[in-house]
Amino acid sequence: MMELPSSLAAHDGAVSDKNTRGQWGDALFGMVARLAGWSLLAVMAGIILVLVWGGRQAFLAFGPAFLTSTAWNPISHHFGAATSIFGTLVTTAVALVFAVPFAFGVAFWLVEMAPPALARFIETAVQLLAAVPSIIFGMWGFFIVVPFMAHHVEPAATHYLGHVPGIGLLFRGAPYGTGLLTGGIILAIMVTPFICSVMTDVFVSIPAVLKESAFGLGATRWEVMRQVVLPWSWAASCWAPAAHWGKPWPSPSSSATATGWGGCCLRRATPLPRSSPWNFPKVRQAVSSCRPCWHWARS
Amino acid sequence: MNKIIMDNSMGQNTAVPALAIRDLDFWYGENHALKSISLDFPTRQVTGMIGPSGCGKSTLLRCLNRMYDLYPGQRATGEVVFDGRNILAPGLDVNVLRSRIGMVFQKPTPFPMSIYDNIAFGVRLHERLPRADMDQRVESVLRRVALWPEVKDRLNASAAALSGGQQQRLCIARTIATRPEIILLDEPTSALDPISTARIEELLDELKQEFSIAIVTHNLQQAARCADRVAFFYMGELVEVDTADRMFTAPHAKRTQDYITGRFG
Amino acid sequence: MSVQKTLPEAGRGWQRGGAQAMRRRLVERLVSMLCNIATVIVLFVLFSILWTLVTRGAAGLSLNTFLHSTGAPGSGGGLANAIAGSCEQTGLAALIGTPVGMMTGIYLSEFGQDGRVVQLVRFVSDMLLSVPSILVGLFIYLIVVEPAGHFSGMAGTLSLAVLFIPIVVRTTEDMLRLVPRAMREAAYALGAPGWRVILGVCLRAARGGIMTGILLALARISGETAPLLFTSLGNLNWSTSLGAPMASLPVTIYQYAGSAYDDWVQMAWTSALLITVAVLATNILARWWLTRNGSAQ
Repeated sequence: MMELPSSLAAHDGAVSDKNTRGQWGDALFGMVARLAGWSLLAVMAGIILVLVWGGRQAFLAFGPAFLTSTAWNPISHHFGAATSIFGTLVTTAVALVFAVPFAFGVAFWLVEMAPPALARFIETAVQLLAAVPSIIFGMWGFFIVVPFMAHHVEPAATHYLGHVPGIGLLFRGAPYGTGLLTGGIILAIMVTPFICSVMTDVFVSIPAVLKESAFGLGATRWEVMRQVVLPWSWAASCWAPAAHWGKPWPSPSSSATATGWGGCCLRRATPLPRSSPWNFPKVRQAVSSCRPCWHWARS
Repeated sequence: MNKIIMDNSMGQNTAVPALAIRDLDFWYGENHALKSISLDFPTRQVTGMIGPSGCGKSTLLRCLNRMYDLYPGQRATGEVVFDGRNILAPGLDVNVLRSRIGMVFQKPTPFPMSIYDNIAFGVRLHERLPRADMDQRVESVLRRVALWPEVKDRLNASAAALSGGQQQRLCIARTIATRPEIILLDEPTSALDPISTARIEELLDELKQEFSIAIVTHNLQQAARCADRVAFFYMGELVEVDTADRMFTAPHAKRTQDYITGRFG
Repeated sequence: MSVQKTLPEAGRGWQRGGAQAMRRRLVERLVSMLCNIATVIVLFVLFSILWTLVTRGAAGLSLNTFLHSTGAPGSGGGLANAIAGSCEQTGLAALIGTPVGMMTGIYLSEFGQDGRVVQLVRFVSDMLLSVPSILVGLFIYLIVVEPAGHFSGMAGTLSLAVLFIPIVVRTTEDMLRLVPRAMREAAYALGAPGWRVILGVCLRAARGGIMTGILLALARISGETAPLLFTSLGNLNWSTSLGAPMASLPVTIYQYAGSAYDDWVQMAWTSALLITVAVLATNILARWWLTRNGSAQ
């Protein structure tokens, strides 16, 4: 787009009336800008169409039971999404249960307790780690966490906790280290830096004087965090998308984008099946129709 | 070196002062912001602190409740004696200290919660009150700051919905609700309109029946109206302290004269 | 120090709060301790990831890595095709995505008169930011790969561009909004037409921030795996043709990490190290750029 001014400027000599030139330029510029903006609408519409179309195929082929069926048989072409949906939900839940407290602990430490030099260093490190692609974490999990879980955690866990209803589900089956718990833990490690850097960002952007007033009443750091900073952050993050129409959110891009736009944190967590049967067209449709559920579940 | 002209014969309470500063020095990193300050805050009087921007008057206020503790690189030496203890000493419970020395800021700082909870917040930190007692406490402090008639029907509404002047009175109510002995006010009216300012000044007059008050202001008329004693600061030094009347009619120091006649600052 | 002796008896006010104060101190201690523990654990895990990556990745790093294409197990190939493929797809995606993204960002911040349409575009752009990338791959698969009948580097490039654009849109818009109104008005007061004000003044004022956004977007798409699986698929041989399947580092990791051959696993680690180094370097560059040029000054 940067060649636009020069290409128009080349006509400088030919067009004598400055006013006309400005109007032509503005009209052309507006057209290009609108075209660019509207192209995004087209892409989104395309993606939604793909979802709807793919989902329809799966539902036509397998009926509404698709959502609740646990069948997954490529040979007879019978598929159900229940296993995937359930797995996704449980893994995500496990990941958040692990990641949120840890991320909060680190963020709290960074903003209230850490010596300033160290805090800056670690904050940067955490933000950089949030930008590391998820496949790297996935690979690390596959080679380090899975064997560790298989050899050390799961045998013990199955022995002691396997019969507890609910929890036992997390490591059901043979101890290969690849259960829902392992998936959740790897996911948790993946998203912790991201959640942590977003939290730090929000905690830092609270007006200092608000915190000082709370301290001024004799509140401890924890009380200030729990009763003032957290409610404020909550309000601020709900308010942020709406306020985006008006004015930029405090620290909109600098640090939020510095976290690599893991986007919504969970997008990095989109798990890929290890043995990919992508070449079966029906499977692809089946998977593509899982996606809307996944998407709705998140939004 | 810092020749402080202090007239102790007039306007000085003979009783023990609420707060006594002795040889206080303060640093922001390398910046020596307060130089050997000694000053008494008499009990149940309003002490005004004036001076040009950056003279250290707000800094002094932030020493008195150890607010500077929140920021690395800021430190104070000397003594500030309050109720028999040096509050600058390590090992002091700053949370108790801050509950006994309240602070009101330049801008109103309502917490993101309801009006009721804003006041109950500070009280709950230090006392376990039954619901009825808490209701009564909230009502009484709101009455004292003359906010009760305006908010009694919407105690559960968000405090952010109040006007600036109302918010500031709420902040004062919040501070006195924890029953402090001293209240520090850091330019409490500089963000408010004249009518709200007048109401706050009236309020100060009433509050000094019960509390010792230290107020920083850049408004000389306000200092003259509200303060019993006035301290003038310049470049981190305490130049002069005297009763308000004498300070504004017959100041001793040349720098004070220049400042109150508007020659600088 | 002489004053110390003159201190009167400490008052009873200091015992304020009693047992409650004690409990509060205890809770504060406990929370601090938990935070410290959490920090130590998290940092330990994260740095152990980096450590594993460096030690295992560096073991397979040699000149061959950059000179030879991937080969059969045991043949001692390199990663040249994957590196070239990654660079080509990412670079082209950036070339396509930057102008579209910047123009959209300009549209969002400067064409407020379009009202609801602008709001819709902004909403859609934010949604694209959080759409799972695998979905984008699927979309490109259906509109490019399936009609053409084969996977191609072009399809990979397009899917990366779709992921690239919303990030640039967001930064461009944010940075343009930070440009002071007075600066705009001053330019208009000189009689400059709108497009000149925007391109010549606003964009110039915001360029530090926008550049940062572009670098971060680059870092982000260079690690994407899922969309490439559907689009450029991967290629064992050297190929820079956009019309043919193309190799890339993330897909190489994906395909080799699970294999049974030690040297392929080694290759996956090396790819992982290369990607991480590239991503971190880009991020650090972007930060450095932001601190040097500030945002919209």
